[in-house]
Amino acid sequence: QSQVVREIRVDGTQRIEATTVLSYLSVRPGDAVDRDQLDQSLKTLFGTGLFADVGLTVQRDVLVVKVVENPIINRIALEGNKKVESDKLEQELQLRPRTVYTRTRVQADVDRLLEIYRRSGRYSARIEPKVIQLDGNRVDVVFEIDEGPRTPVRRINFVGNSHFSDADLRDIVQTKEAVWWRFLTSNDSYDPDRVQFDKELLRRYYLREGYADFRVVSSNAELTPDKQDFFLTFTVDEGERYKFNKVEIRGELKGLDVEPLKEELTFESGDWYNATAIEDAVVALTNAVGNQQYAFVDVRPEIVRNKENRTVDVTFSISEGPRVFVERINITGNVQTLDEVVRREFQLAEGDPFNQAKLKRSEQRAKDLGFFEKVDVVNNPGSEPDRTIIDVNVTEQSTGEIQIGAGFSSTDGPLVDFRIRQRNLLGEGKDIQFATTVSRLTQEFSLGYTQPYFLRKDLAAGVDLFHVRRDFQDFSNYNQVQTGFDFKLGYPIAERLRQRLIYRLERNEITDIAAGASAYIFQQRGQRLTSLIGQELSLDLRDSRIDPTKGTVLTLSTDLAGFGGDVHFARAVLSAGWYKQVFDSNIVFSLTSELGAIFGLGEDVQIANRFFIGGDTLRGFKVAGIGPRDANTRDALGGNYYGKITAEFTFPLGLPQEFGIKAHAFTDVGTLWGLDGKGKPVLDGLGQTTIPTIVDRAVPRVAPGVGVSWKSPLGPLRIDIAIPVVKQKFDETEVFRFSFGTKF
Amino acid sequence: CSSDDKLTQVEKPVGTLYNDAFTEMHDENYRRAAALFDEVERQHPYSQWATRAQLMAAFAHYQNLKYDDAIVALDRFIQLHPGYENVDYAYYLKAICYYEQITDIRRDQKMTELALDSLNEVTRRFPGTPYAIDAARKLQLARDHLAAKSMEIGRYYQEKKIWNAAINRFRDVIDRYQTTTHTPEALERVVECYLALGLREEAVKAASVLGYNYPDSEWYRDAYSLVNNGRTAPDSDSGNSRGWFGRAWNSLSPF
Amino acid sequence: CTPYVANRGNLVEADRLALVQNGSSKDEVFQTLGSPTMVSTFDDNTWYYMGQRTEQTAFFDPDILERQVLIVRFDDKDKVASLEKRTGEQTIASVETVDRTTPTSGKEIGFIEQLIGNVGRFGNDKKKPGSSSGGRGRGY
Repeated sequence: QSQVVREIRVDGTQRIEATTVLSYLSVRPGDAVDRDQLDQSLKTLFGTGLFADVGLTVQRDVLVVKVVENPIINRIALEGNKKVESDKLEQELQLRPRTVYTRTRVQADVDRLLEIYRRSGRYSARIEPKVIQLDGNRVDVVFEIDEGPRTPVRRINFVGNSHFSDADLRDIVQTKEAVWWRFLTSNDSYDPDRVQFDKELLRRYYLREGYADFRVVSSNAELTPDKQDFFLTFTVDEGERYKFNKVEIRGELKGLDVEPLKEELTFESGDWYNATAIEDAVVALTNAVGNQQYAFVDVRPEIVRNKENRTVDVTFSISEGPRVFVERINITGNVQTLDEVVRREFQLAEGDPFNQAKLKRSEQRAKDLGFFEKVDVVNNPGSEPDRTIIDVNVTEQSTGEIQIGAGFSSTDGPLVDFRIRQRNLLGEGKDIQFATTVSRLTQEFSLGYTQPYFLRKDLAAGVDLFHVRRDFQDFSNYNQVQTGFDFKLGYPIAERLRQRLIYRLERNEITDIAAGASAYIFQQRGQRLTSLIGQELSLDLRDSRIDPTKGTVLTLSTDLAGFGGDVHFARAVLSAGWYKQVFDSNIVFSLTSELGAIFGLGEDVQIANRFFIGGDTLRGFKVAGIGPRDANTRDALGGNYYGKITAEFTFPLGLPQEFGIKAHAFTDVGTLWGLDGKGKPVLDGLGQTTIPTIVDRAVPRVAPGVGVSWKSPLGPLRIDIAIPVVKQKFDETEVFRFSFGTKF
Repeated sequence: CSSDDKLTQVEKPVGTLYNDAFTEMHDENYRRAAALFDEVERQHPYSQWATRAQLMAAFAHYQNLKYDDAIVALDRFIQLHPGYENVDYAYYLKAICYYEQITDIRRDQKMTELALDSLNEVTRRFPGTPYAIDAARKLQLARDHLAAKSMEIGRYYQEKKIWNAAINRFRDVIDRYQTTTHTPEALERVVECYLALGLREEAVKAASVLGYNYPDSEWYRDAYSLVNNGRTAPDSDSGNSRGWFGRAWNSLSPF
Repeated sequence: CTPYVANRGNLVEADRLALVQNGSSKDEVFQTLGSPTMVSTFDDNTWYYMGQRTEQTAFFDPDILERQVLIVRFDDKDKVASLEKRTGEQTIASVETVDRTTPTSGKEIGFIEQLIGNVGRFGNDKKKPGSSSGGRGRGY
């Protein structure tokens, strides 16, 4: 039944005007009002969150709207939080001073705060919101926090594992047992989500090792009687280990030759079954077929398990994938960077057939630019059923860097260098860098500028100007001044292979030779002009250029000096890097090495062009700390040949990802040898001919050490401490090295 | 919040508090003005000054170029006082806050889209008001901006000779942004792309539509001469005679 | 090291094209060939299917291995009236493009500004409340 309403009266409003309440009603004076309209108005009024209570009553022909306003929050306070500081908690709160207080919002905030505590391992934290009434319908909200004890995992046990020991499996799962030296980590607290993830880690590990029937039967955590710790027990059913039997590729695409695709597989019949290898093979096959003229490729592994003889047959069937085209590529979030700088990294263009492998590769290329903290690529449906829109959202990071490096060595004291660089100039991806090194040892001024897409082609053109004055008095009693410029031109030869051509013209001078210097150094006093052409080939198969965790990188650079100028030599440097994830995936083992050689062409190699090893290039030893040396003047003379290998473990300290703190354990091994004109008489500083005795032994020096690197909000910081264990009598050592850069 | 906000926590009668805020506003130190206006609302939420203070706080944030704070304050004002007599100004100021953050077309256009939506809302809710008239003008500029972005991407794909991507981007401008200043150029580019694809009849159609709608535009002159004698019009601006070196220097120079 | 091969647009294979003849409906064409790469600018009854395969080595411009433009014209009853396939030289012509672009306003991020990092204002400067002075967009 409905009644005509002649007038609407609003009671109980204090802060909110009556007109505001009326505007939310769907009823106007003079309308006929029925039950549903009233309910509807009631719902909308409540929906605004402004009112604690609303009543609608019709008395004769007057609609009375009785409201009780929600109070306004005056102040919010947090009490009892010791382990987590207030401002970290306040960030999470939705309630703000001067906003409306509602019970649901307070409860939501309580849950958010509890979530923070759960993430840092405090499951028994309790939070009580207290509301203090003030005059004028205002309230203060106080969150009383009882953080409660941490609930660490005291012991992790495994039941049913016969092929792998408890210790092996403890390394696989992320939850760790709480022991005193793991004071920094939060992984040793009980977190049900992490235990779920652990089950997945176990499953993947066993499947990679060939246990196709593996199952995690159960995982339960019991609280110790004194309620202080947890005991975590995983019950597993390993099943038997399987081998590959039949391994085939069946091509259903017209004219597809299956034979050459076989080498894309990393396993064959007879190998142990390995689920991860199958996943990798699917990607490899999709890429290989995708590169031929097939636009739409769908690779599906069919796995048949044979329980009796414990073998697995796998057939990769390659058929035509769904015919989907890219309608649009939208790039958002690029406040500084130009749209084109991101778009040109994409191998897909609008209108192209959609190809998942190319999309993944494009995403990685965008990340490798180093301009973005995050690159999120999402496919959304297009305007037609066979079209998709690729939305790329980037989160920029500061690409301007001011680098202040400081080295401290036992004998030389501080060295400070200052470098200012903008890697994304004007958001156009251009890289401009000005470096000055000011220290007792080196005064260096260099200006570098690179345009990555010269003439809008994938052609990186760069020019560098430099003037460097190095004080080698402490190692070799002379100073060296280098002035010059170089042009660089870099371009891709194939997907992962790039080449760079370099022309450099450089004038260098050996001056201010101290009286006691070695005769060799006197012999090379004066100026020389070096004009060289070089090239650098680099093959980069790593998964990321910035934080590589797997893959290899190989670089060969060769230089030929003698195109004009008065120095003639040929020089080659080969460097290689190999990265692998070990133990539980967040520890990275890297093996990097470098070999270099220089040959004088019809003349002795000058000291200015010889290699010097030490400092950053060989931790544990000072700059030019090793290599050929004048026995009595102890001057370092540099060497024509060098070899260097570094094995390094990089592991997180268990701190949450965003701290960006990593620890390093490494061993640097290096040697430097070879000097032209050894044993020949030379004129020393006073003009007499002498034959200086040179110590030059191609013996490897070894220096194990540890280091910490921190991507601090201010900038990257690195501290290394290395102990030169194997060294020669004459080497110069250095224990501590430190570098710190700020970002702007 | 900075130290001087502690100073403002002192309870004062609403009148003096409001006047202090107003004088701060007058002296153009907007941050303190915003803080004081917030105090008016916090200490005397039920006085009729509180509503006015909310709007003034938002305006102070805006003057202080703190667009996000201004937008948050305006959203709260609109929710609390939808019936207030100059709520139209609140909607308008919010639109201006987005509008003034529009960056150049080669960068993220999220602000342009937000400005477009809020300007539309002003013209829809308050037709005929001075705010709506100004909003309509700004709407045209914002749409012109989005059209320019599509043009920029179209030219990128044209340079890369991916004709279908380029044509579809220029079509985007012709279909969705006909009233913007970029439509003549979009039509001329479509002529260029179709000619490059050997589809003369398509190019002729586009050129005739260009000629019909923009008979005296330079773009039509170029399109006409391209279709008829395969070269852009000789006396169009000197720009297109820049040889290799001009293009090389332009793409190399850092500024 | 294999040069980089790119499939652009919708390169309709011969056997798939054979399924479409005069008289087929728009839906049939859509089902077999997919959505058209381009539709004629002012006439919805002409659909274009354009596809090309290019091969690029180093930084040189990609050279076209294969290009095909398919023109499908429909009559007013949305039935295929004519089918024309053009490939190779017919679809490749070099065209001089105009260097000029339509001017736009918008806050250019200056070099200094990028260093300091605050993006300035687009449109005009301060506005008094209640005043309705029209905004002066730059460049018009």
